[in-house]
Amino acid sequence: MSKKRPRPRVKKSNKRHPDRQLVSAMMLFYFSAFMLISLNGEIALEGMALSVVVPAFIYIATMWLPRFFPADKLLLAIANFLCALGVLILYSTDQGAGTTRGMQQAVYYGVGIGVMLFCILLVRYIRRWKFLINLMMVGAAILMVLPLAIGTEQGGATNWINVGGTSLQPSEVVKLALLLILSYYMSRRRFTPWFVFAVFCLGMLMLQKDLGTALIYYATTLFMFYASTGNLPLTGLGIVGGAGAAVLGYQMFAHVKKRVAIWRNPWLYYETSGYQIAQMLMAIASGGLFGVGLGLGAPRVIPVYFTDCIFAVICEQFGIIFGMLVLVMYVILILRGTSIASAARHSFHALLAMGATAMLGIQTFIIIGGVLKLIPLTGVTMPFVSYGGTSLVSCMGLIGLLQGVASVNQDDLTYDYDISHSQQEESMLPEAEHE
Amino acid sequence: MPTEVYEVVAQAARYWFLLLMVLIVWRSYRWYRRDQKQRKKRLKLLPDAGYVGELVLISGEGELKRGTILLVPWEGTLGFLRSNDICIPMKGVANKHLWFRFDNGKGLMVEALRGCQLKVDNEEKTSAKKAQYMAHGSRLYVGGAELRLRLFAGFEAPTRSMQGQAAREEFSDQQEQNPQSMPDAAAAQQYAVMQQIMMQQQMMNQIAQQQYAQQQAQQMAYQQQAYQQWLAQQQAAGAQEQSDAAYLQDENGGLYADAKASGEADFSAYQRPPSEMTHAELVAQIAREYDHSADQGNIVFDSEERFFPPVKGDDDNWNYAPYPQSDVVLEDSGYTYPEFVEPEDYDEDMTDAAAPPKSVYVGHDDAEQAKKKLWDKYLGGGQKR
Repeated sequence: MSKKRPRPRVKKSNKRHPDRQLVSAMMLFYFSAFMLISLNGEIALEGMALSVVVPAFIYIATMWLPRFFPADKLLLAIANFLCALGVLILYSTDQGAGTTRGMQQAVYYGVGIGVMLFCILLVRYIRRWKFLINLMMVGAAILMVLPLAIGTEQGGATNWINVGGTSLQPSEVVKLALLLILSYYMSRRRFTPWFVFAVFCLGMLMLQKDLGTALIYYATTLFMFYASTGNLPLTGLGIVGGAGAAVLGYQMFAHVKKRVAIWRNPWLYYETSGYQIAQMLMAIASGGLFGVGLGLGAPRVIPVYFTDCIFAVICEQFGIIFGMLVLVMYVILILRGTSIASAARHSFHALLAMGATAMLGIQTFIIIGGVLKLIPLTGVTMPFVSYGGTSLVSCMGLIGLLQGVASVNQDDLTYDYDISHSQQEESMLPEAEHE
Repeated sequence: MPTEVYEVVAQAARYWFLLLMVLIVWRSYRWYRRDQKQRKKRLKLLPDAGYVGELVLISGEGELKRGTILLVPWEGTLGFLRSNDICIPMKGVANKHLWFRFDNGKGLMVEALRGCQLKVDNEEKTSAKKAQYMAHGSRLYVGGAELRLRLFAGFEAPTRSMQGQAAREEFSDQQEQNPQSMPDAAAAQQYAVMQQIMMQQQMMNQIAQQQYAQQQAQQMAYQQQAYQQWLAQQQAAGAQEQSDAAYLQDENGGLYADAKASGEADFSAYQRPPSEMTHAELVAQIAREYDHSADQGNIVFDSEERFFPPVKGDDDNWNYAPYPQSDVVLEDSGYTYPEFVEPEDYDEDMTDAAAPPKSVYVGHDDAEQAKKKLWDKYLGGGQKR
């Protein structure tokens, strides 16, 4: 009954390949940038090494990986570019500060590539998800409870745990599990399991006072619910409920009130809690259109410049035009994710791709909106760019899930070509019979 | 590098980095746009890509005509509203009636939504929990509409006969494991049904084999006869040529054309005699006979022009409805999707009006009519604007 699939009939073109053009521009960018930084003051061998290693990594991750399975090269290229931008900015701010965040981020980037590969293979080859999803639910529930039991407080939220001398943010890991669980149960039209799990996660995040992550979880769940059911009244009810919860949170938590007050007028609290936003706005303004120059400026004046406020550092060093172009890269990434989701044949894959895209988009909007003072600043990282192993690895995991769906889509398309070209000839049905 | 020099170099390099960034963003955007265009072209050239089969409307009262073909995607909902993946504006069909999903190897799973009823091959189901599988040729009854599933070639799902085979195996396994577990009457009835299905299969195979052997023998005899005729003609033609050659040397000869014509072999001998069936006719006849035999056993296949029952191929595989064919040539130009090499007469019109309808129910005229109806009914034909 089953027939072997013939290879798709694809001719090689003599035109210049766009993937090579794009990747070569990226490689040139990072080579020149790292070379420039390594010449700041004494010649830094680390910087010179990074000027070779980072472009090589981009080339390998974008051009070689798709040889093993069909992958979306554009998505890979954008994700690699953003990761490398994080390494570059962190390395430039390390100069003279005595920190090694840039090198650490480069290592996390390598780990992220590994996790991305794992996620691609997971989506591509796992066909029976039930057992794995149940296992994930249990594991994710334990991970969400752990910070309350053995967690440490950072920036007002108890969302970190120490494992073997390394700090880890469980809510970042659970993001991937949440997406898989929501997609699985929503695609099978089973309401209770995903609803209970999502409410449990949100409850745990509220108890940890990690409001930024709670907002991402809530918005993503709502978005996926609408995508799976198209039920506008219930989605509207969810939005109203979320707004109500925000008002309630404002009334209940003092630090939420404070954040809103800072957002409305940071200059009133310049000496105290408004210092961070004020410094970010000043950094963006001092960068102007073209920036002060790579490795110059005073980025370290901004509190937590390496995580939440890294976009302000980018704008200061490269200028607001460059910052806007970085945003365009995020937009292209989100558009690409949306088209992957819309091309998916199975609702599980479509929801997974849509959820991953929504999660990345929401996270980007929350942090960049916070930095630009569009919305109150909450403690979330800028995807791919901010310093932090868990965050980077989780974002690469999301890209892995997207790539996995893209890979399955490509397989389905090949299958369509195959049966469109070959089966007609073999068919014995009367209407297909030819002399 | 001294700090002063570095500052100058870094400030000069800002423009270089900006230029590279603009280039990167532009190339990424171009790549994205190009892939989008390729995707549109692909959907235009392969309008049925992503569908597993078709539902053919057999009967029912409503807007759709009998014989309307509705494409079936991998998953989705079926109901009265146009927002459903399969829209059936027929009497008795709920706004969202059922949910379906295609499982490779099992068939099309259908599940009635809350408060709805459906029937697959005379088996009624109302509970949303109990899903049913439809095979190639299964009948689906929703509201007042009767639909029939036709799976495309290449999608692996059991035919009804194969379901029978599976059920028979299950039945014999059950009997072997626990012969006392089934009541005698039920077991006898089930066994009779199994026997009937098995007999039908055997009958069909026998008919096919007999027909094939008969045709082979006829063809052999016919080839021999044709060869003898051809030899005789060749000999006659040779003799004629020899006599004509002498005549043609004569300057007054005017029979050149006739001589040439008479020298040609008569290839009409190779044409099939009208009594012999073509392969297609043979298959159609087998299908008809199978239908006739199936009529006696409660399994009825519609042998109308629109619907063909599953037929077993030479390689012992079951064939499905053919997948829509396309003559697309691809070229790997480095983008995510291979690029289409456009044929000379390729229609560049990418507007919705130029796109082929995905199925009958979303034909452009229908869509326009529906829009107009909506406009007239709820918006007063534009007067309230």
